[in-house]
Amino acid sequence: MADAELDLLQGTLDVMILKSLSWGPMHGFGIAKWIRQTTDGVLQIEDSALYPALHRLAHRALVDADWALTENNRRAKYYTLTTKGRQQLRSRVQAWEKYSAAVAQVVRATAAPV
Amino acid sequence: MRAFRFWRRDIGAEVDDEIAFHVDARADELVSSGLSRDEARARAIADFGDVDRARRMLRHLDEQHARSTARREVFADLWQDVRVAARSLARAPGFVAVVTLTLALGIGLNTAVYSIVDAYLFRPLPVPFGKELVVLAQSDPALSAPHEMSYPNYLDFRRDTAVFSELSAYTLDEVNVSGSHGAQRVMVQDVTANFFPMLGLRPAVGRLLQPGDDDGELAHPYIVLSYAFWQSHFGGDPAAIGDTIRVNNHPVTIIGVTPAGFEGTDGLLAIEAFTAINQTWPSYGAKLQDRGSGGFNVIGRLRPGLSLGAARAAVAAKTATLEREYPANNRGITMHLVPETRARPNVAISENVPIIAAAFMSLVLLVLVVASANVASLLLARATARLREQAIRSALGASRWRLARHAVIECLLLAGAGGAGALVLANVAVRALTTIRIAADVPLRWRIAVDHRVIAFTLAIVVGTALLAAIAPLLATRRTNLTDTLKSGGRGASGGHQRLRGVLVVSQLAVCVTIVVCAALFARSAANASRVDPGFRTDHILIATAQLGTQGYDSVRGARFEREIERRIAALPGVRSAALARYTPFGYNNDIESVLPESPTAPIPENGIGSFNNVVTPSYFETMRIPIAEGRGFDERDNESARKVAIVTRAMARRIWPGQSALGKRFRITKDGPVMEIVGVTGDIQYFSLGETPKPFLFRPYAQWYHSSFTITIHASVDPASLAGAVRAAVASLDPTLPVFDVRSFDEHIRSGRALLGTRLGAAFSAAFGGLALLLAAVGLYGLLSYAVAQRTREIGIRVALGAHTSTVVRLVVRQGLTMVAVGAAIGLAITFGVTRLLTALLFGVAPRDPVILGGVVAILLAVGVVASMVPAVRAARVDPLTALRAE
Repeated sequence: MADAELDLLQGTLDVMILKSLSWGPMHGFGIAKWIRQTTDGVLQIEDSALYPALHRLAHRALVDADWALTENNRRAKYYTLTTKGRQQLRSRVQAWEKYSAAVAQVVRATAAPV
Repeated sequence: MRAFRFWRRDIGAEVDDEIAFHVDARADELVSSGLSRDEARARAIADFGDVDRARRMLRHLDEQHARSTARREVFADLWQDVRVAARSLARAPGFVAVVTLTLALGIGLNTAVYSIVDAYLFRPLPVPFGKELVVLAQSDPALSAPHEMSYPNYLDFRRDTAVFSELSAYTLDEVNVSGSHGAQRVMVQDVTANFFPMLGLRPAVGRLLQPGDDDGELAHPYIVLSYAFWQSHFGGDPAAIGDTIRVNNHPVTIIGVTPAGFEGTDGLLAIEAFTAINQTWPSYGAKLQDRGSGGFNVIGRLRPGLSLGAARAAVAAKTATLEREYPANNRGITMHLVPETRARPNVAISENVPIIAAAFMSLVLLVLVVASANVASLLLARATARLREQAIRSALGASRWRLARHAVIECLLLAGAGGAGALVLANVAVRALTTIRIAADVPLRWRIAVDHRVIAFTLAIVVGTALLAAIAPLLATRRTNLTDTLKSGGRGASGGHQRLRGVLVVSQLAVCVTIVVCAALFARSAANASRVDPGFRTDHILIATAQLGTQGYDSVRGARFEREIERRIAALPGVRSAALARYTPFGYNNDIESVLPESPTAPIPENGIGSFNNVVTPSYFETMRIPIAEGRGFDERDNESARKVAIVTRAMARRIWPGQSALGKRFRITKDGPVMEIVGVTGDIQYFSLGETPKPFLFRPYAQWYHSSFTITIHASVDPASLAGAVRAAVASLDPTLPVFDVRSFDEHIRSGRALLGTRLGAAFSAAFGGLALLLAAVGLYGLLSYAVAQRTREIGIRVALGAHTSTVVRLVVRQGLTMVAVGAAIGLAITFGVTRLLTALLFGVAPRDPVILGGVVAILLAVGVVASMVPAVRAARVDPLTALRAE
C-alpha cells in the first residue's frame, strides 16, 4: 500500500516538475515555489524529495541541468525541459486527465450498480 | 569528450551548492515576509527536510549516473573505432585479402604444429588420473636408453617403495582374435590387474580387469575391449559381454569395454584390447620369475602430494638395494622416473622430443614472424599513403592515442580474420596429416585434433600477431613529426628501416628458392620412382599375410596348411598364379643372412657376404616375373628330404664367382649349417629400397625351410584389391580362427610403404612449405614495393610532370623488384647446393643439382617477382602529377 502511494506520488511529482518547466528554464527552488503556490499549499512536497526526483529526470534525459546566474547574480542550477521531456509531459498529462475524469465520474455517479 | 568532463566534475560540491542555493533563496523569501535572518534560515532548513540524507542520496544518484555514462561512452567509442576500421578496410579488399591470407597461412601453420605438439606432449592421457601418471624405466650397461625391466624388479619396486599409489606393468602384443565376428590381428596391452584402478578408469560396459585377475597362470582368461574395437567389430552390442572368443585360438571371455577415447597407454600404438598378464596363451611361464629377462613396461601413479624429486630419491635407494642383492642381473642399472607426458612417444627417445618440438615450434614461429613482418610492411605502405589523412585528423584534435588505437583495432580485425582462416587451414592440414597411411596393419595412435586448447593457442597468437604487426607502422609514424608531414605534403616516414626490410625480403626469396627446389626434387623423385623397374612385377600383385605360430600349428600341420592354402588360392577365379614367401620386397620385415661360399673366386670377408634373402614356393618366380637366367627354379624335387638347394641373383654370382657360372656352387649360411647347392641364377632385383643398385640376394625353397608365418603373393588378372575378400574367405575355409592381415596391392605397398612413404611425404611437405614460402616472399616483395611507391609518390609525380612515360615509371618499380629477386635467387641457389646433398638418400632418378629444376625454380621466382611488382608499379604509373604536386 505504501509503495503504491509512493509510486503515485513519484509519478505525480514528475508530472508537476515537467509542467513547471514548460514555461522555461527554472531552478529547483523556483520549481518548489511554483508547486507550492499553484496548489495553494495543498500538496505538501518536501524539498528533500523534490531534488532526487529532479536528478532522476535529468539522468533520464527528460530535463537538462546547467549552472547559470539568477537575476540576483547568484549561481543556481537551472533545469530545462528537453524534447523528450516535453513529449513525456504531454503523454503523462493526457493519461492523468483520463484517469481523473474516470475517477470523477465514479465518485459523482448517481446510479446504483445493477 | 563530455565523458571526461562529467567524470572529473566534483559531484559532491555541485550537490552542496544546489542545496545551499535553495536554502538561501528560501531564507531570503522568508526574510522579505518579515522574519529575522536567523529565524528565516532555521525555517528554511527545517522546511527542506533531512538535508544530510538528501545530500547523500543526490550524491549517490549522480555518481551512479556518471559511472554508467562513462562506461557507455567508452564502449560507444570503441564500437565507433571498430566501425571506422571495418569501413576503411572494406575500401581496400585486395589489401585485406593479401593480409588475411598471409596471416592465415602463418598462424595456421603454427596452429597445426601446435595441435601435434599438444597431442603428443601436453595433453595428459584421457583418464581420471592422467596428470599423475609416471613411467618407470631402466637403463643398464647393455642399453643406455631407458627401456623395459624384468618382472621381479618391477614387483620389488611395487612392493618395497612407498611412493606409488599403484604401480602397473604391461607388455604389448599382437594376437590373433577370432569368434563369430571373424578373425583379426589385434594389438593387445597385457597388463597387471591393478592397471585400471591405477588409471581410475570405469568401464563403459561390463567390468574392467580388477585386482586378483592376474593370479595364477591362465586362470583368468578374460579380455577387455577398447570402445573403438567394440564398436567396429561387435557393433557396440552390450550382449557381447560374456561371450567367449578365441585369442591365439584359446577361449577367452569378454568381460567389459573401456570408455570411449581410451586407447591404452602406449605413445604410438592404439590398443584394441586388454588382457591380464599370464592369463592368455601363450603365458609367460618362468619369465615372470627371471630377473635376467626384461620386457615389462612400468607405469604408475605417485602417492598424492608426493613430489617427483622425493619419489626419485626413494626409487634410487631401492635401485641401489636391488643392485646389491642381485648383482648378476642388476649390475649398473639406473632407474628413470618421468611424468607420463615426458615419456612419449617412447621413454627410450622421449628425452629429445621436447627439444625437437621446441625446434619445430620456433621454426614455425619464425615463419609467423616473417609473415607478420610482411604484413607490417603492407600496413606501413598503407599508413604512409594515409599519412596526410592522419596528419589532418591529428590537427583536428584526434589524439595520438586515438590514432594508435585505430591502428591496433585495424590489425586486430585483420588478425582475427587471419585467425579464423588459420583454424580452417589447420583443420585441413591436420585432417591431411591423419590420413597418412603407412601400409602396415598397425593401429597407430594418431589423434590430432583442433580442439579448445588449440583454439586458445590460436587466439593468443592472433593477439600477439596483431600487436606485432601494428607496432611497426606506429613506430614509423611516431618518429614522423605530423606537423612537418602536413607541411611537406606527406613525404615523411623513415627511410632507415627500408634497408632492413630489403634484407628481410631478400632472405625470404632465398629460403623460398631452397624449399621450392627441394619440393621439385621430391616431386620428380616420386614420379621417377613409379616408373622404376625393380626387376620384378609390381602391377596386378596382391599380398596378404598370416601367422600360424601363435595359433598352435606345429611344423607338420603348418606345412600341410601352407601347401593347401597356396593350392586353393591359385584356383580362385581372377588368380593367374599364387606363391608363398616369407618376406616381401620393400617391406618392414627383412632378414640378412651371411653367405659363406665353399670355393669363391673372389676375396670374401671372413663373416661371409651379408645378403637379404627370401624363402619362397616354386611358383614365386613366375608370380613375380623374376626371370631365371641360368639353371632352374624350385620344383617338387626340392622337398624336406632332398639335398638343400638355393637360387641366387646375378649380383650374388658376380660377387662370389666372377667369370664363372654359379650353378652347382655350394655355400652355407651359418658356419655349422647345412650346405646348399645353387641350382639357378635369376635376374637382379631391388629389394630393400626402390631404385637401389641391386645387391647380392638369395632364395631358399619353402619346403626345405618351414616358417610359421607367410605372405601370400598373388598375380591377378583382375584388379588385385578386388581379390582381398576371396583370399580371406579361402583362408577362413581352412581355419576360421586365423586372421589374414596386411592385405593390399603391391602398388599400394610401394606407394604407402617403406619404399616411397618418405619421398612422398617429403614431396607433400616441401610442396606445402614451398607454396607457403613463395606466397610469403611474394607478399613481402609486394609490401616493400608498395611502401616504396607510396613514399615516392611526389618524386614519381615530378617525373611524370617532366614527361616521363608510363612504361618508364613501371620499369622503375619492376626493376627494383627484380633486382631483389635476382639477389635472393643467387643466395638461395648457394644455400640449395649445400642442402640438397643431404637429400640424396630420398631422391632417385634426379640429380640434386638438376639444371632444369634449378632453372625452372628461378624462372618461377622471377615470374612471381614480376607479378608482385606489377601491382605497385601500375599504381605508380597512375600517379596524377597534379595531385601529387598540389601538396607543395
